[in-house]
Amino acid sequence: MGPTYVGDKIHARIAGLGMYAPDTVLTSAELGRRLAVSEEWITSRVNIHERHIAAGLATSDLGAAAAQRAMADAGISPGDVDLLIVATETPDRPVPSTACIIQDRLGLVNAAAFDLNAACSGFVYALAVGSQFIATGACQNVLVVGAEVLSPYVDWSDEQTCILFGDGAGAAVLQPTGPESGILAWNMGADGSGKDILTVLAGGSQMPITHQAIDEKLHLAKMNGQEVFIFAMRKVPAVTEQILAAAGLSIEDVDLFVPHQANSHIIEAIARRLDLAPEKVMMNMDRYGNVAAASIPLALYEARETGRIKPGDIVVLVGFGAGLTWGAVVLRW
Amino acid sequence: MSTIEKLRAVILKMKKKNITAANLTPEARFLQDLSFDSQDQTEMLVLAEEAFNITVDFQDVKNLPTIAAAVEYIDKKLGK
Repeated sequence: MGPTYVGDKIHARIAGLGMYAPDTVLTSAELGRRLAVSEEWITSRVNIHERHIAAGLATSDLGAAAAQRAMADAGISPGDVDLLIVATETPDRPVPSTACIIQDRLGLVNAAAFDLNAACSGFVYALAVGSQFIATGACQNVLVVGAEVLSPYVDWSDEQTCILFGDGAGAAVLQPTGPESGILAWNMGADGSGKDILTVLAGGSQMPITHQAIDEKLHLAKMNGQEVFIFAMRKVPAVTEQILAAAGLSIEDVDLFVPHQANSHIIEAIARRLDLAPEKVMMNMDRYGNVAAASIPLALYEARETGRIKPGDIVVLVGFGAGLTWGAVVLRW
Repeated sequence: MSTIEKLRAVILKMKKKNITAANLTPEARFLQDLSFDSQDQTEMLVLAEEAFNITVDFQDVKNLPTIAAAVEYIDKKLGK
């Protein structure tokens, strides 16, 4: 199950949100033409109608744009940020961190900066990590970014996986608040025995990039979709119930459930298992696809903008993905 | 509650169109009679894991053809 933390006197609240989706849009109709399948073939499988593609932009470009909007939303200046955490599995470079590139771009001169890779659970992991720096009093403004440029890792000839993914970024500013609101509890966990279920084999120290690796497409993402589905179904409902119980709440108290936007079948199956009515489940992957660590902040931003989250609401964020990893956060808005 | 009754409750929880307790007979075929796809069968088996307190070996259960076959598999897991 991994560690669970229940908030004490100082909670971290989300004081600002921002998002950025690159201008280039790849519709499922266009993708279908490239793959010689119908748009309906794609949408019936994954309920994704379009996704945004970075088309030359880097993860830091997307992340910086989202972060800038989150800072403006929170009403803070670059110099106010104490800590920048960038959740990504697609960093600009192996070194330095994408966080340092964003720190420089935005002039966050007083911030420590690092990347965090927990794949699709990354944003929830980063919220949990960032909230600890708030809870201890070490930081007053933590900027958490989830940013991904997945498109270069997608095998665009594999119609089973390429229909799923997109590029984008979301960001949140964490600030301290009292014990009544903000992040009430979090859990994060991992099961590395599932490391091969969703992976990019080449490009790291284990298998450096070679011509042969590229010829064999080992630099692209490989996924066992059924294993991901089994993992999500086994883990997400259980983690959701456990984190709610830790916070002294139950599923009936949940106003909005914001899961990682993997695909609509997984989310609907999880919602049925949890007896969550569809109106309490946030889904926007129809317009973004699966954007890994950026999925949850993109969904959270849209939920707030469309009035699906009101002050006082209980909101549950649950990430799950490669690693395998999972993470859950319960907050009172 | 018998295995088939419990499995019926699991399948009804999936809220699939046109499925009622009445058409969940032992002979009902997942693919042809119940319009299950592979994800539906996976969902059913993960829900069954929790309902029956078993662990399903998904490699062993590719394409269980009927309700009776699913009941037989679950009973085997339960040591019945």
